[in-house]
Amino acid sequence: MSVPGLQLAEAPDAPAERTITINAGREWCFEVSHGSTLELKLTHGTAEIFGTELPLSQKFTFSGTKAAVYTWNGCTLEITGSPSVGYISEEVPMSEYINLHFALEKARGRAAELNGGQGPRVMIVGPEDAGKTSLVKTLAGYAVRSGRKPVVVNLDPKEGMLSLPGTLTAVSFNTILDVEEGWGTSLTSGPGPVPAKTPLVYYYGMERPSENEKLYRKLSARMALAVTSKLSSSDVNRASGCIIDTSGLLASKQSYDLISHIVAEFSVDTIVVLGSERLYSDMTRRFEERAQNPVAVVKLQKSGGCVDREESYLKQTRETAIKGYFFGEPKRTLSPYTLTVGFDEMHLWKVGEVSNIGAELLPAGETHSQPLYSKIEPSVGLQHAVLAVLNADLGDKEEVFAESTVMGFVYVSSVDDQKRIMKILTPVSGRLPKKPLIVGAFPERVSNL
Amino acid sequence: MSGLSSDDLTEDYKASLEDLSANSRFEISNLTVIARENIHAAQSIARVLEQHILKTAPSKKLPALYLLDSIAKNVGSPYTIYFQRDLYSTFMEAYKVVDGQVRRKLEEMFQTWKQPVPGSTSTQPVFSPESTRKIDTALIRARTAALQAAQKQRPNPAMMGGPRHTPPPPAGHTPPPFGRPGYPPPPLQNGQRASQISTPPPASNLDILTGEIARLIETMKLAIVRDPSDQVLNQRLSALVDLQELIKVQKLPDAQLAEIRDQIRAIAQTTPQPPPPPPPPQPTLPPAPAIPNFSTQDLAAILASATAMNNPLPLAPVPPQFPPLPMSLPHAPPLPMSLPHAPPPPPPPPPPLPQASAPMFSTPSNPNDLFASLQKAGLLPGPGSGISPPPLPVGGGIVPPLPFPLPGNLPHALPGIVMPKNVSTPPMMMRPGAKKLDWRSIDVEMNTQSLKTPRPHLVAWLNEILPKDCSSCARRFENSEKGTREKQAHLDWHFRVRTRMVESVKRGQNRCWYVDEEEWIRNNEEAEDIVPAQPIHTFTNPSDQDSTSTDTATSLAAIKKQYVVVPNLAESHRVCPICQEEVKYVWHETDQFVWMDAKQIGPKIYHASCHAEASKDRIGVNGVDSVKQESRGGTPDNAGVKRKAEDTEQIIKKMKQEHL
Repeated sequence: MSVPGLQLAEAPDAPAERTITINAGREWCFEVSHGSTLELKLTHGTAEIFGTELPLSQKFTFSGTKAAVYTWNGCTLEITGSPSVGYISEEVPMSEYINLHFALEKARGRAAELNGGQGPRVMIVGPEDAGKTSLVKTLAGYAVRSGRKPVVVNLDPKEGMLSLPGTLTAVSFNTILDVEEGWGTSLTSGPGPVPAKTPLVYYYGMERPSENEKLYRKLSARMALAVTSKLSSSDVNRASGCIIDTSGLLASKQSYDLISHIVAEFSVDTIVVLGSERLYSDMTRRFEERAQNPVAVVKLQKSGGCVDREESYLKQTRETAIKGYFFGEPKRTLSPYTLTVGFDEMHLWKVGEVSNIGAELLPAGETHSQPLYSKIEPSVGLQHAVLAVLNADLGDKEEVFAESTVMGFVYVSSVDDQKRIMKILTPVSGRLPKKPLIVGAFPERVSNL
Repeated sequence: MSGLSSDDLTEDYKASLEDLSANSRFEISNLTVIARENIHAAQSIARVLEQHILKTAPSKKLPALYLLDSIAKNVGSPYTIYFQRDLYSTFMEAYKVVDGQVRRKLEEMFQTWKQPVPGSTSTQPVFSPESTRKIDTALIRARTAALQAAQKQRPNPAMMGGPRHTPPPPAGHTPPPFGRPGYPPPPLQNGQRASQISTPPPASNLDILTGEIARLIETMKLAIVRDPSDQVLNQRLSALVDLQELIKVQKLPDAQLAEIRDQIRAIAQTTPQPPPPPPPPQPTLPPAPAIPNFSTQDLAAILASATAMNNPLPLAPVPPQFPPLPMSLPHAPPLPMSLPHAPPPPPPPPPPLPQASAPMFSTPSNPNDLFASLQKAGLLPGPGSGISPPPLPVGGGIVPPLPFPLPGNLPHALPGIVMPKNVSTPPMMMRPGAKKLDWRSIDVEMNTQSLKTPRPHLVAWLNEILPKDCSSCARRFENSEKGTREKQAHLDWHFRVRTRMVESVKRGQNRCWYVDEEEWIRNNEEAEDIVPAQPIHTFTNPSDQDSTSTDTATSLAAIKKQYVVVPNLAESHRVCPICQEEVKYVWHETDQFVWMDAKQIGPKIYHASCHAEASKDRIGVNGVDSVKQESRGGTPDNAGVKRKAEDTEQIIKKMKQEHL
């Protein structure tokens, strides 16, 4: 008798299970590459990942992640699978971070008691890979743990929050963050193991805020308006305030004007500078010591667990995000729909790019004016692009587009120039909405979706 | 159910099997009872179950086989006779496609088939030796092959083939056929990955004990859920958790294990009643169930608390149909003759600690304290059993074998958890008393200097504000009536989601469009997970919901909004058996065709209003019925963004025009 297939479980790389003990006040930093997985379970003690607690004995699966498990009181973890990196870090400025949380809590408590009092609106700035997003997550996690509903704003187009890279988003967190997915997932038609979050999404379509600064400013100003309205919509929101994550690229002198813009639009009252002395002193001079509306500027230590993320890793993360938008995460598979659309049904604009013509070639007296968007025609060049479907009307002016949110994204799987049709992937069934479609340069095209 | 014709019954049984995706004590016992009550249809039920085991996704095979095991042991003949015929193929086909962990569980279960049902008078094994021998041989070969493969230390890609004889998955079953050559076996639902099957170690005393403790802890937790104020139970539970840890860390001699086990069994017998005198030891018996009887009413409680555990429930004992016979083996306390004999519930993880102690771990003082506390809780024989105290652990993690407990009367205030010695106990663990946290007492100022000063006491405050937490996702709740209500709703939500995620796998789900600014700003509803579910799943606007219970007219409107998803458009023409009119289907807001005003009973689709009219008094009374109904016709989770009823109507109208 032969029992086929029985040998398959004997692959020698059967995941090794091991136990890790972390002393109080330390963190275990781990990296899991894309494509491999790590299972993690808290067996004793208490632990948290970026401010969100891990329940005892529940298994969490990570893939394509760089994260850290911190413990205030000591804990034991059981892990299965081999992380590409895993070490215990002692240089964790967590006590500073929790102090910051309580300083914010104090402001929230005060605001809750005052009629019309505004909760803290804090902005995190710092160079790239200084741990800004991790700090924002931690602060959001702690705030949720304290029963607040903070609005978290992501102004870093390089990484999406609950949406694709290239977007600017705002989310009001009233349920816990999803430790496996980082933030969580946006609404789907079915149930999920962690309540879905509702992001407000704007599409910028560039990697750097400076690439189309005009658009970046317009979008962020518009978002500030929405966030301000949200903050005044209920007492809990009002007292909870907002936490703003920014791009590391703002941490240079040329971009200080953009920081001022954000501070003004969002009425930021606290700036947290992470891991840069120079930026701290510049910010202090510019905001804390100004005569009108001084802003508190504080400096926090960069965590020892921060790692530089290589471009290849980030690229894979973006690819995963795009895939995840259409096909879901391992825990929740989604089924997108394929549509065939004629060229005539598509109304496309491209995010305005800097003209290649040198300034000296322009007619005298004219300067470059970078357009917000420029109209384009469907073509083979759109193959594998992600298009943002705007919440605007086709007849609207481009200025209106720059104040419109995104309904969602579609993906161009193939283009047939002869027949003038393209096949697109949409998250929702039904026709392609008659809305402006925006093509950006970022995130880059993904061919093997 | 017994009133149904044989065809309807099997059809219904089949549908219930589809839903059996986790090792749920409730479902398995429920299905066992149905099998018992419908002995007249035993042959077709047995066939349906065998077919199901054969065809279902690998991740669902284990619960289905547990069900087979449960029926065989609790109902016995004639089921055993029917199962026996194809036992080899039923078992081995499943065995081939599941991963190592599940294989081990199957093997454990299989071992029990060769023995008599514990507590029964019969000395006959569960299944006849002829039928089990063949499986035994196959398993031995499989293990040998496994060992050889393991020695080769090199995976042979050609061998990654998986099953060659796997029958095709049933039509309409969305999970892709995992068994195709070149694909590794699928991960189980809970994320377990295929792991090596070395020869499974024979169940040692230790394993048996660990399993029993795990089960007892589950039981205790259920009991505590019912009566959270019971101090004795709480104390015992924490002591048990400690014991579980201790056993893991320390190696105890067999004799002591046996003694502990006896105690555990004694406790198991009495939970949640007060402890009786300990029974005489009986260490040579096969693993005995350690779950006390639950009455049927308790099942509802179990169902509710299942969420709290977020663990597959241990198999439910079916209330014994006859009292244990006097001539039974020297088996001290009469055990319910029931399935707990079956393999222990899959992952026996160290369960979450009771809430009070969960965030407040202390490092152990030493095992002596632990034993003392165990004794105090009545879990171990008291002082004077003539056993010398255990030596203190030497060095770090590994401790020498521990002789048995010592007399001692340390208070059981903080049950120690065995953790490596080098974990220090920071001062920040001090509980700042029951003082309510006020923002005025926060001494952190928003400046760099103030932020730099460590304030260990704040850490405890972090969890003080919302002290109650959910054991499966760590969401926190107020310690108030509102918090209790929210937590209850949250636990229900976990349960609901788990049930519906199974559904949604079959149906497929997709991402929704993002909301626009106005909706985002306006959307201030409570999170979906803390809003209590509506008793009947309907699409109503909030004002309707308020009055459903009182106003008959609105409740009828609510019933009319029930719907059932059309699984296959080709078979969308249905006639309501009550009014003989067609049940119409429409394109629903949730992006699927649904029969509106519809209710599914077995394979039949009724008008929900007709059915409600015909069975007025039954709605909502039968808890089981309403749970099932929810899982079949549940609305996808849209709680985040609810639309007004009139919007819904318009959308449906619009959709109809577009699609029909």
